[in-house]
Amino acid sequence: MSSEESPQPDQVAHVQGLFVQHLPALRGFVLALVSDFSLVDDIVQETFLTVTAKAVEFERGTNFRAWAWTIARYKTLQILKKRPSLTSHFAEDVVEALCAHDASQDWKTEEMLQQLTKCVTELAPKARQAIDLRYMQAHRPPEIARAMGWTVDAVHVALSRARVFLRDCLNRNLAATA
Amino acid sequence: MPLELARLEYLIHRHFDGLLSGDERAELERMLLESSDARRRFWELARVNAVLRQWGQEEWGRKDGAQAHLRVLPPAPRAARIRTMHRPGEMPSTVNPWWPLAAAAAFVIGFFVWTSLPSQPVVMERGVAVLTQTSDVVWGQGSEGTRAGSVLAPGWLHVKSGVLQVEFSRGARVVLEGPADFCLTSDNSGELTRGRLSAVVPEPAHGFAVRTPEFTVVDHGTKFGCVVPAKGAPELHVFGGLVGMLPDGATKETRSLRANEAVRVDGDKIQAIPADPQAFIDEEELALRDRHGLHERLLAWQGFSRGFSQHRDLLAYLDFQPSGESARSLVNLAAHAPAGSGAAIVGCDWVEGRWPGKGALEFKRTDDRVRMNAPGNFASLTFLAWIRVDGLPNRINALISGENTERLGETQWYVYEDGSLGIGVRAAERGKPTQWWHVHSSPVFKGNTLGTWTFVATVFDRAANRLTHYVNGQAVSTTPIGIEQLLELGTMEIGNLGSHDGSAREVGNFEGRIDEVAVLSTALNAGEIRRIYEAGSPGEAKSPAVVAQAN
Repeated sequence: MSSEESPQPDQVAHVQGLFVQHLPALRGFVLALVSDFSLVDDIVQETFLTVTAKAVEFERGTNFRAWAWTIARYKTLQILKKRPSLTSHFAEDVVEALCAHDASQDWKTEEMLQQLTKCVTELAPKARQAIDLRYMQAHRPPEIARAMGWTVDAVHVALSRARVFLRDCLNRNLAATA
Repeated sequence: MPLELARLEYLIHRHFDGLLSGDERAELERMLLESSDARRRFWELARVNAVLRQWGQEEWGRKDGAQAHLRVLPPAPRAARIRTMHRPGEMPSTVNPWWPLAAAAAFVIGFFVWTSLPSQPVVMERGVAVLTQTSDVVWGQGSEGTRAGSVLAPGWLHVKSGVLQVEFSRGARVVLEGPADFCLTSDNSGELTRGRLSAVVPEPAHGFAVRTPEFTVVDHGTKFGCVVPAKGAPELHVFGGLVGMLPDGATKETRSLRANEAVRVDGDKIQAIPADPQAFIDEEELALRDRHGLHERLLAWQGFSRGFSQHRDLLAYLDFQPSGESARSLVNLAAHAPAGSGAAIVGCDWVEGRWPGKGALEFKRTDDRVRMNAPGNFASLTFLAWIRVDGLPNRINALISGENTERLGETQWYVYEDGSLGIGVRAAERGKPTQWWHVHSSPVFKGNTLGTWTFVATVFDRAANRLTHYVNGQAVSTTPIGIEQLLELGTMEIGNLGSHDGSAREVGNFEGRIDEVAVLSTALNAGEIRRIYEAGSPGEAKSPAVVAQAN
């Protein structure tokens, strides 16, 4: 968007600034609905473009999060509809139900990230390796299975257990610091 | 845990791993629609999944690009397929299934194996940008060896001096002036902790963000520049369009800057300063510098090449400069080579080499090759070549090989399917367990080095009892020599596996370009290899003194 097209550049910059602040939580929200990491990036990018285009509609002082989340949900459904062959996502009514549940929740991403950084150091070496390959290198379980010489099921079990361990560790640590 | 709950969690995990079958998805959807408790549990795990991904992305970006374990998946161990016979004491058998990992970790040790070669998957790196241009770049620690054309994974670029251009996958283009430290954090963002940067952001890359120690710039599709001095406050200059600036100070209020506006940000103090486009190198200027620099380097290399051809131990020296467009032979430039040792081109097309105006041969078809005679038996050998690997279609992708692979001492020099640089020498007759002696480096040609010009060298040094592989002038593996045979090439083939009469031949053609090859009957030392690389490197200008030294 050029400055000629936008009558309120300050408003656009303001909204984009808010977007950057909320980006980790928004990305996480989309990631819950769509398990494909690269598709998540596309949806977040589309959301950013729409947020920028609609910046004038956002009223300062109102809930940016709820506004941006609605746009992200809409973009998610739109992209999923365009790609019916994708199996890694939910039906529309399920997405709606999940979003209704999440809308009131606030994600304390910074705090969670700090605690998670500590918790991952407590993982067993093999679990840590699987987590690194999945979340750092963005490999899918079949690729991880090939790399580690495991079956896909074994990778799935390792990742599941690691996530449950991390959830419990996070809950413990967040409760302790609250 | 109740059965129903365990099943729910199982399905949620499978969703996050992209493993749900159609039936499982329907089952999970039903559970989520019917129960608010199921939805609560879903979000609880979804947050862990999300924060893990955020952690993964930030860790990836934070860690230095030089750390090999971050850049590539370790290859899968396949114990059953590795039938190796190790010499006692040199590689304990308990290490066998993991030797590819051990080799990757101990980069300078190298490894050797007798007889059959294992098969390993090649896993590409995840690139977020491409290094498109460089001008007189001297890399800092951890970024050495990065070349124009390289695919860049998330991580740091450390630049001591010079100028480069990075093109992000989403379309943003950045010119970076050293000294600089710039981290590619994603395909549409970066972090500048030192240096001078200018960015052009086309529409698909809107939202391109650069973080500095004092503020984050979010672009609306425009041109801007950032300076982060070693001492003093960072500056933001806008040359076109509009950008948003989010200071890190207490105010946290986003400001927008229009064309020809600039600010200096020092904590909460934001001071307007005059915008200065002259202070930044733009794309056009970099392209001009690049062309000029390349021409100078080509001239310097030609001078070096004339001197090097006089080396008394050269068996073969081919510079791949065609005498005409339809040239089907190459002159052996080695001044002391036996008469009649010119090379015949079979197949292969003439293409551009590592500089504009420099010739190269392209090897694509399974029969493309260059043949020449190199008679004799050799106690030591040095192989040198400038190559561009475009793909690794075969188990062995031959650079140079003797014609008769049945003869003892017959030597093959190649890139292995996992991207490692390798040499093989026939050490015993067919059928014996020790029939081939192979030495591989750890993988060199991976996602980011495919398609870029690379200098490879391998030195078989009998006197020092050492085989050393070099990549871009640096030793990457050193291994004791484990065979007694003298080496042979006979009628050697460049870019293909020698064809021998009789049984069916393994396909082992090289896929890519070659634009300089030398074979010497003695072992060059590390300093000599380094100087030859520096004189011939298309990416770095060297002083005439360095070139003269190599002569």
